[in-house]
Amino acid sequence: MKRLLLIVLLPLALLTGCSHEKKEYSASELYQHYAERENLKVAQVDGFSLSDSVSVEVILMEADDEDAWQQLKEEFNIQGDEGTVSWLGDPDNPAHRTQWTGIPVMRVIASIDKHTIGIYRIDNETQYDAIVDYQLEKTKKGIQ
Amino acid sequence: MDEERFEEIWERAEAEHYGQRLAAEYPAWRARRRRVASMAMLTVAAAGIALPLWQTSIQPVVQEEGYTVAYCNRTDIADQYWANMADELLMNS
Repeated sequence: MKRLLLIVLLPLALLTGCSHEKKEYSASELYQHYAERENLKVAQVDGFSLSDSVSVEVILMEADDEDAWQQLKEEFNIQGDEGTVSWLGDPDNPAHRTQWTGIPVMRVIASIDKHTIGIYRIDNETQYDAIVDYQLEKTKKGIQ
Repeated sequence: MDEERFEEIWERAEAEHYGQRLAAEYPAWRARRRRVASMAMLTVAAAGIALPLWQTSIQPVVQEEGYTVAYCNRTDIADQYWANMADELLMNS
């Protein structure tokens, strides 16, 4: 009897556990999520080149007006009135700040001045390194 | 990216006060640097005995244009507009 209960309950428990798994957005799902809004310009850029051998998928958004920007600021929990903010976000919720531990993350960059947000999907350490390299290289070129 | 390149990035990040942010976002960043540094020492010690195996060449896989705009919810915006935005956001963060 106990064995029978185990046979019935174990798959049920596993199924319940699975149903609580986080939903991870693919780039196109993330695009769809925002593209339907009338006051947002949204694009998905595939194969955005970071170096000769590394590229990433990017979702880009630009608010058409102040209301649209205020809504984005609230959704992404963006503080401040000027400059640029950047963080690593969860793939299932890019607004949620996280750390790089080897599992996929989103590099989220928001320009408060330009009312734009870029979400760069990072799947591996090579892409993480390439983004850092790209930023440092560009900064260096900008200074020169 | 090979370990030598990582070492270069590390040094530049530190010099530009970027290292602290990386350490906050990527807890294993410093540990990785130590690992790379000790590997570099081992490589020096092994020089003349064995070739560093990780220095294999990687073929470019990125398309010539450097991007593809897969979707856009407006028809009147050029693809280059989005590529520039992706570049500027990275550059200014």
